[in-house]
Amino acid sequence: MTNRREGVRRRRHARPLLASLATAALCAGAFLVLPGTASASSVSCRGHLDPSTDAPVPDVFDYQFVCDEEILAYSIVTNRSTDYFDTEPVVFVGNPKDGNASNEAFSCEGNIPGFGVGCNGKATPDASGLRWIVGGLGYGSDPCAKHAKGQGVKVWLTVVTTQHKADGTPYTASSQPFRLGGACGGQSRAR
Amino acid sequence: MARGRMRLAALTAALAVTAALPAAASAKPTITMSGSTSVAPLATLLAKGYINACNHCVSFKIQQGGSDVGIADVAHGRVTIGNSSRDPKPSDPGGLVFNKIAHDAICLITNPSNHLSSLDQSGVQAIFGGDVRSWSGVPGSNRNGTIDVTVRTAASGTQDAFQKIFMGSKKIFSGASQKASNGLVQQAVQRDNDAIGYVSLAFTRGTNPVAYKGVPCTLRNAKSGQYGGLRNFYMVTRGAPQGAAKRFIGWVKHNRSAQRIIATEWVPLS
Repeated sequence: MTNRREGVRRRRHARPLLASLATAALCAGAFLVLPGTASASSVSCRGHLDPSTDAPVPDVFDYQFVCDEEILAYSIVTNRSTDYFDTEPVVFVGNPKDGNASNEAFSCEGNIPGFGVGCNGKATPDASGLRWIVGGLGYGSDPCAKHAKGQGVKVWLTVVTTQHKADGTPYTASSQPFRLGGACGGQSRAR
Repeated sequence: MARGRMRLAALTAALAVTAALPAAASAKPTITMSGSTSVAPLATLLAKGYINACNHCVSFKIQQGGSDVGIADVAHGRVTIGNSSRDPKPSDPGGLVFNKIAHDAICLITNPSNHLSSLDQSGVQAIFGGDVRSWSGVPGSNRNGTIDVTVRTAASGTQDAFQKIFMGSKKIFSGASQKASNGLVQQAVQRDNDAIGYVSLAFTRGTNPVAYKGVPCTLRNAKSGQYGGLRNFYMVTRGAPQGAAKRFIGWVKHNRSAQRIIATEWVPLS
């Protein structure tokens, strides 16, 4: 057997080993993220970003979102580095443009620089209306500027709600990520 | 055989470098802060200003919880800096250094439908002490309903500062509604025609700020010293600040950029 054939033979034997290692790694990762016996959150949320008109620093975008269930906490994650965030977003009853502030609030925490913010509080829709949460994120530079990889700013929202088991026992659950509509020309794309 | 061993060695080296990267990246210090919800808006602005000024020499982790939480956290070594909007108390843990960074005005606020223009100290004490329970008994108010007194919770530095500056030895009456943050007080007063409360100057939007002793609660009056409801903001450290925290607090206290940030809605020390 020539050296080349010997090398090919050994490479063929090495491939199953590498494949096994990769599969094992994937399985380990899947095991770590597999949920317990609780069901997924049933909440539905939507929202969008707009350039802020009253932020204390430039390059701030206001995020607005609304959910159809009571939320106890939320996280905003973005694909661009942030260097500012609203520490106390406002909860509105109905459309924020009506200016009808709720008596609920959220307190936000995060890293600077970071990639978003985490907020705790409560917003409970009731007969008076859904609850819109409005807060700000600062990007340090125009987030709509052309990105090196051609990607515009993207923002995702996850919320924590209270769900109930079949026997009525409450538990908290985290939702799926919801993509918030972009503010760059109405699309989440780089200019 | 040789090529297989080389590949294995390369893979091992790559894994070793990958494992080492996080350690290298964490060499940049992180300054963690918790505490006052009044200081938090200023703290985030100062953090942003500082990382730009020092070319991203540090990163910040900013949390809240109230002044008492910040003081407890820094005393126990859970954070680098505890933000406080009240003066030190004898009951605070020992060994703490209260690094003063700014002044802030506490404003009395009513609902916009309540045209109350000014209160003196006796009026504030009578209302928040529960001696006067109807707006009809308050000169200058156009309302006549029951006064809904809104105050801050016990962990709040703003509550401590209000008690010290406005109430003196008179206690706040037990029927007052307690809120955990400036924003919640602001929103409660916005929604309730008969509410009165107090907030940091930065949280008066959408309310009727009431002058104190005839002096309107404005940034100009706070800076000039005319307004009588000023309190101190502190960044509290366990012992004298060291390392990255020392450099940051030094920048806050002495750098012109920092002073400009503070001057937007607060009162610089100098």
